[in-house]
Amino acid sequence: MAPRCWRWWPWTAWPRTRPPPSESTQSRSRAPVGLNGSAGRPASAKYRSFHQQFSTQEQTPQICVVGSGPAGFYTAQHLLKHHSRAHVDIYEKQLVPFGLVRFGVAPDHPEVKNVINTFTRTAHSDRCAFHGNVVVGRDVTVQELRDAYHAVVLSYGAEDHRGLEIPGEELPGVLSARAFVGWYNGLPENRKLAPDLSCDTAVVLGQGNVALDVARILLTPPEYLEKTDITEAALGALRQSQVKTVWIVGRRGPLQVAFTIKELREMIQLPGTRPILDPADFLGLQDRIKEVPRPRKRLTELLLQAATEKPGVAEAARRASASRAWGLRFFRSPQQVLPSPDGRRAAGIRLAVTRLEGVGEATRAVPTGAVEDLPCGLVLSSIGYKSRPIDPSVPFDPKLGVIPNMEGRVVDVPGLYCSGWVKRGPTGVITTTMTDSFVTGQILLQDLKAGLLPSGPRPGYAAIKALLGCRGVWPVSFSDWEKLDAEEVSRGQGAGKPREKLLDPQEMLRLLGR
Amino acid sequence: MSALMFGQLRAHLSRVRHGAYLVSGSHDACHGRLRGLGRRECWVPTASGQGCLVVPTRGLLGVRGGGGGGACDSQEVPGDRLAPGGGGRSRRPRAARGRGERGVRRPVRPTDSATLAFLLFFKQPSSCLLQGLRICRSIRSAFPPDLLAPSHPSGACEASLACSTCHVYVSEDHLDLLPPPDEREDDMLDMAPLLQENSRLGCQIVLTPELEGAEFTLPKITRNFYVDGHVPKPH
Repeated sequence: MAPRCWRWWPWTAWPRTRPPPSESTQSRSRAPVGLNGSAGRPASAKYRSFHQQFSTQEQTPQICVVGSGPAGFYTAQHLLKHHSRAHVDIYEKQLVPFGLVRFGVAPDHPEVKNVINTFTRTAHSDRCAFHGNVVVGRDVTVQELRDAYHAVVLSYGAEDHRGLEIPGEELPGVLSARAFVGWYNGLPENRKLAPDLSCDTAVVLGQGNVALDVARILLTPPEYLEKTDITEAALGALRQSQVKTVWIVGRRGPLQVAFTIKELREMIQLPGTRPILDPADFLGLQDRIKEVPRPRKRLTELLLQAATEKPGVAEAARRASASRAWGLRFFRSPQQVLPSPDGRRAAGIRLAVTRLEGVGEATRAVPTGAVEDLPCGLVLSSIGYKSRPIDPSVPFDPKLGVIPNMEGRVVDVPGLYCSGWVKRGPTGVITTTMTDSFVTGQILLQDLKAGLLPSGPRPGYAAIKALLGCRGVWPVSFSDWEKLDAEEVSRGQGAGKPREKLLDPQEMLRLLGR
Repeated sequence: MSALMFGQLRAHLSRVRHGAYLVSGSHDACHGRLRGLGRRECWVPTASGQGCLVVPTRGLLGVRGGGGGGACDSQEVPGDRLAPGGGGRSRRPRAARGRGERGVRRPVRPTDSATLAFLLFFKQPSSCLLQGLRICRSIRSAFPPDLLAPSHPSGACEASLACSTCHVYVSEDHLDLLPPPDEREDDMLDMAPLLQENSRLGCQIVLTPELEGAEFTLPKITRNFYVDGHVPKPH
């Protein structure tokens, strides 16, 4: 029974105490994974399956999740719930977890951030560990993770924005909405953005929920934001802001808007502002929406109502006294950002007038040849995000901006999975990501059960910790995050805010005693 | 099938002693009891001895499913049908089911059209502890904690009308008894997959005596990701 006895009693030693075959788990020259999960080496296949037979039930699958946003946490949650022994390690490049729930959800939508409580409970599980401040692709490669774990799930989201690719894009005054959101939400890499809000008109390109978020934050009276977790720097800048009108411009029509009804309702009822909607844009729409699915129908009906119906007395008075305004412009596609006379900043945007071709989801905007110039001092492009390739060994589709996969299994790479935006593309809300992450988790567990993942024990974090130590990277644990969390909450208390976010990574590391 | 199941349960309930039921208090105080049909009820005695019985039935999570519910061999997916309870439950006559399915606790088998059925039986409506309890929490408390642990997908936004994870289908008969949805609830429902005419958000449904006999079904897309293959520990 004791391992040291096997030398004397090789033929009576119980199989489960035999040492595993001497193959290196760090081996770089991996043969394709065989059907029963063995490395395809005939000599040890018989021995391995014998060993496997008796030790599988004791094996703890080590699974690694890259990214700690909703996709990462929901995948981890699913794996922990449906496998009684699996151990999940979540890696994150920021010092703090939660991804877009923390850095993307608007400060005036705190209820959406309640999912953090669920994620915190997952992280507290003794089979789950969080390792922040680790950049996969730079501090550790995906191959090293695949060697140390039985399976790796990539859920690192989409951190790039789609570029406008028009002349003048580089002028000061043109920003991506993503950077703007990161700025007011305290993303460390955007803390020095310092957008110039001294113009009176801003143009937001794109008609999704992010575009509405950005418009809403620009126009909300600052006193409404004082009790939210918006950063102090952003609040200060917004108090000084001169922006009075925000145009939200889309290249297609009212039936193709990508925002959802809740956010539209908020815009219509935004205090201190009035909507500017041209009824001409909505002609004939009432009939066309009779047969569309309910969500689109309700959304369009609300738009129609806001554009064409006379408001009640109280609402009319509110709008008349509003000092700020927002409007939707349709069938306009950006062609060029126009510089100021001294060429030093953006002063307007040239929009090509479009018309629609095609039907249903495939409706496309094609230019008509006409153009229109819209003066403005701030241009925020909100036309979508895209993912970046994380590692040369991971396949990536640059056109779609996603990792090629089948239901979450990365194509041609066994043991590698993906979930969230890096799998489907950067659309959808947290619920969509949740469902999608559960699919990936399910697929992974199916593969585990079918023996398609590497068998035999894997070192998991023990191996990665050693590597990171050699490279001078000091991961941040979940309890470290909780210290930072407590610090943020206590700083916010003085100002009546739920938290005052820490912005400087160096300051955060100092607080942790590094 | 829902009528069949409800009929069984009604017959069963008529045999139960008066004044002895309650439910959905804290799980610790819950006393399951094996009744003749292999069905367990979850009840907690109160000081007043009155209250309500919530009987989660059927193979959703297999917790209390026994008796007629144990067959678990229906395949149909609720899809976009308007049938309450998702339709598609097995229609095998009771006699055709094995003897072993009665009076014996069975491990759950995954089922496609599992229904979470809350059958409310109120002795004294005025003192019912469940009154005012929202469906979301009552789901949690009626099941063992490891089953619907805090990390259950429903209620991601903790009942603040900011998500659609607690999306349920309400049995047709009881749909009209619910107050009409708030505009904000409708807005969130718009984003829920597999929307039906009888869709509501569970976190907005407050249980009242009028809802006796109501059935709430989870949409397939929620269930499959959570409960398939999961074998709950006996209560």
